[in-house]
Amino acid sequence: MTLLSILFILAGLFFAFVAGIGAIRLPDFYCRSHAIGVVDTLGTLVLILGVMFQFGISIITAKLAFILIFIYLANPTITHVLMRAALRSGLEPWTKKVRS
Amino acid sequence: MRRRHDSIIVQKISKLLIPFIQLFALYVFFHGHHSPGGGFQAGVLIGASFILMFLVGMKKETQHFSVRREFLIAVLGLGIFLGIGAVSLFFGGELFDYSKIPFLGEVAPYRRYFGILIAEGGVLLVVSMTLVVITHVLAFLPVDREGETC
Repeated sequence: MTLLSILFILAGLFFAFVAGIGAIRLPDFYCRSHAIGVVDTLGTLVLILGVMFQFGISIITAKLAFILIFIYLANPTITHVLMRAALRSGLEPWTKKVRS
Repeated sequence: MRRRHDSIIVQKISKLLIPFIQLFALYVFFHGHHSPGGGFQAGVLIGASFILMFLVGMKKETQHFSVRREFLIAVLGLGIFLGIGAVSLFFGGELFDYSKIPFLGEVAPYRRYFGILIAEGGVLLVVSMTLVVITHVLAFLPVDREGETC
């Protein structure tokens, strides 16, 4: 049980790290939002799953499950709203072009 | 003018999440005595859920909100907070001394418990409705005054 928990927490840390790199290194707003909305959600879910394995069946696991469901619903929705607002206010998506 | 948000994802997810946000606000409110939380934080959560309703544009759920009513409810909350404090003046205590109020319980700790709970209910009304009033006035009121009913 503890080994499984450590495995999940390490995977979550890896995904969160990748999301951080993506948020810093990707070229424009849409790519960065994509990194946050997809990879960071997965990283947080796996991390919370690992912490749930740490506690076994108890009230803390139930609370963590509610947090997990909330993040799973809210984080992609917020990314969706931000992207729509950016597109509507006229932010051009990045295309690979050579700057003169 | 309050329009519906034109993304169906945002509508459905907001509709799904708002009752749970308000339920969690009540949880925070009733745990104010023996864990972090209380009237102020629960009021912020309730006000945020109402603001989310306004932003998403749920017409049916927000049709009874007007600045006048929200302001009246905020004043009612302030009245509850000060009134339950002033009741103890009639029973020989000082202001906000809940342990002197006889109808709240048998012994002093229970009286203090329920007195603080009622006062925090007043704080909850004040904080949540003040947030909603600020959002309503800043974001929706000028257009409401021209055409739609406020």
